Amino acid sequence: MDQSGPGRSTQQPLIIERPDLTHPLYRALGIGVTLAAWAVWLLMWFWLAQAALASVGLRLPGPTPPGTLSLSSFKALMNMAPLAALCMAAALALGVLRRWWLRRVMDRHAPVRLVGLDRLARDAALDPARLRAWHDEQILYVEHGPMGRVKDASVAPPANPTVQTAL
Amino acid sequence: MMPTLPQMLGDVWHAVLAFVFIYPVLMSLFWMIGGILFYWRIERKPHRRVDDPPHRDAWPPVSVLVPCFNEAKQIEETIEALMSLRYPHFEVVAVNDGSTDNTGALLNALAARHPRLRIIHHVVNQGKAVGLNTAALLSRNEILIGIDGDARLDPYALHWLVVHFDRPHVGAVTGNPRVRNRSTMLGRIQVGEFSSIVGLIKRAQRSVGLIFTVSGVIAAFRRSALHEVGYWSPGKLTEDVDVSWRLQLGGWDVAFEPRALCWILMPETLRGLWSQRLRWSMGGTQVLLDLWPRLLQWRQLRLWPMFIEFAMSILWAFLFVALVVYRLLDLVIYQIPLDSVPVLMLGWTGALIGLVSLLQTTVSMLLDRPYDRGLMRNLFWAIWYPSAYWLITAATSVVAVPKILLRDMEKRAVWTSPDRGVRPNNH
Repeated sequence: MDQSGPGRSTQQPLIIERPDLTHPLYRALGIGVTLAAWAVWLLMWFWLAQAALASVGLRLPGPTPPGTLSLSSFKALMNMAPLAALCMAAALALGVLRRWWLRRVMDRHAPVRLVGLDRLARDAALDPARLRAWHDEQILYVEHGPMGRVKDASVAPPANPTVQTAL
Repeated sequence: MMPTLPQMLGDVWHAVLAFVFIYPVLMSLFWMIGGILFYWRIERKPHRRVDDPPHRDAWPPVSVLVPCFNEAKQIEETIEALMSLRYPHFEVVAVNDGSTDNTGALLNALAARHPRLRIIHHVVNQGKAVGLNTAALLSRNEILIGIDGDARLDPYALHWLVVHFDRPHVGAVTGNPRVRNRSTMLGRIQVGEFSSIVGLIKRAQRSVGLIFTVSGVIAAFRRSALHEVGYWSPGKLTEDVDVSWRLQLGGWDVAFEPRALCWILMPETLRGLWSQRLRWSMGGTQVLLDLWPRLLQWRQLRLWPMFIEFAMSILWAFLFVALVVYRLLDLVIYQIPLDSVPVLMLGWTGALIGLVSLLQTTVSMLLDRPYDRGLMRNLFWAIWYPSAYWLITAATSVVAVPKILLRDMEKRAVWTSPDRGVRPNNH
């Protein structure tokens, strides 16, 4: 039984496989409809065999499918296929070429220019000394401006009780 | 008598039908081939043992950023797991974003026990993106790793993420999220789906040097790269998609590391699943609508295949839904034949789509098997993958596009309270 709280073990099993927590009827239904889905899929192979045999003049007795795509659908798509395939191949080739070029060029780049604390503070419109101090704190209460930018931070909780922090 | 829609459209009708069938099949094939290529060229070296990361004399210090909103039920577990990481030098910066439950107090108590845990309390709720930005500003290190407040990192995840930053053009690295909760049918379907979609698609995209998005639940960033692109955007519903695209538009490489594991809780109710997937669809659409002018520049040519594929997936969704609506109309007005077709693909087309989807799920599970014991057991539920993924994608895409077009672009994205599945302490 989980007993969440400070100092207590809170690790549930990694894989949570507890079908016993679901209603037996739902479990049975789930297995039943899944078996039915497999059966329907296998029936489709029967229809495929029917179609294949019908194409050579043989008839396989049994239920016929309600309807299916016709050869004319494929012929219509085949007319457009070469152009589509050419476009896709060109895009892929360009993608591969550019990736190869990026690997050759980018791996020889100068090392990445790190974002120092001063630049971080400047770009966030903050005082670097204050940001440095905030980096050393374990718990902070942060206020934001209208666009979600950090406006201020303090180690003391705010006066209004909006933020729940006490147990 | 008025001609039917197929008669009016002629060849276009047949082409639409064929596109609706061919597109999922083609994409599955691409993802499988790409995933296998990624495994062959990159993933199998040096090995796939998660608990044996590369050795080096010194590891750079990193900051793990954990934005939280009302995470009282999960946060202790998440923080305790972080404190068990084997990485030598790291700090954890947890952000309490104006939670209305006990999250703040719990974090303060945890900070008293763990000196490397730092807490930032937002006086007023600001949203996840601002939480990440604040944590980034107030953290000390160059490598920043963002995780969710309910995620559990593997003890060696940081090692596997950090090694990628040896290459100077890498701006971000995303890890491999694995589903923890597998108690219901929905949970088990998502186990396979995460391997097939998140895992395999990322591998396939990386095989051509691209990635659609980092997984927000586990992603490492180079601060310099983030600073260049302006960090996370508060107005974006999916800040992870947004930052991934802006990094790549800025010329940075975004890598995928399948050995950096992160265990997450996923919705196990239909409502929760719908809500999550709708947000993902809206977020992806919002980002692409915002960035498409930049994408059309010639220097962004390498990103076009992914942009085109995303656009085609939206087109597919709309065509699929239109065909379904037309089919339903035909069934209702059965006295007047409208020449529709059963777009739910009963018949031999369904057999082929099912086969390709099952192959995709099997390939993806085989690739992820070293990282997730017992994964193959979920193959039984994989028959739902074509409907679970493609139908939900179609429905959410069609709903997402108008919602995003009508949304106020300046509106701040707010936290949602996700369904975290069936767990023992729920009873």
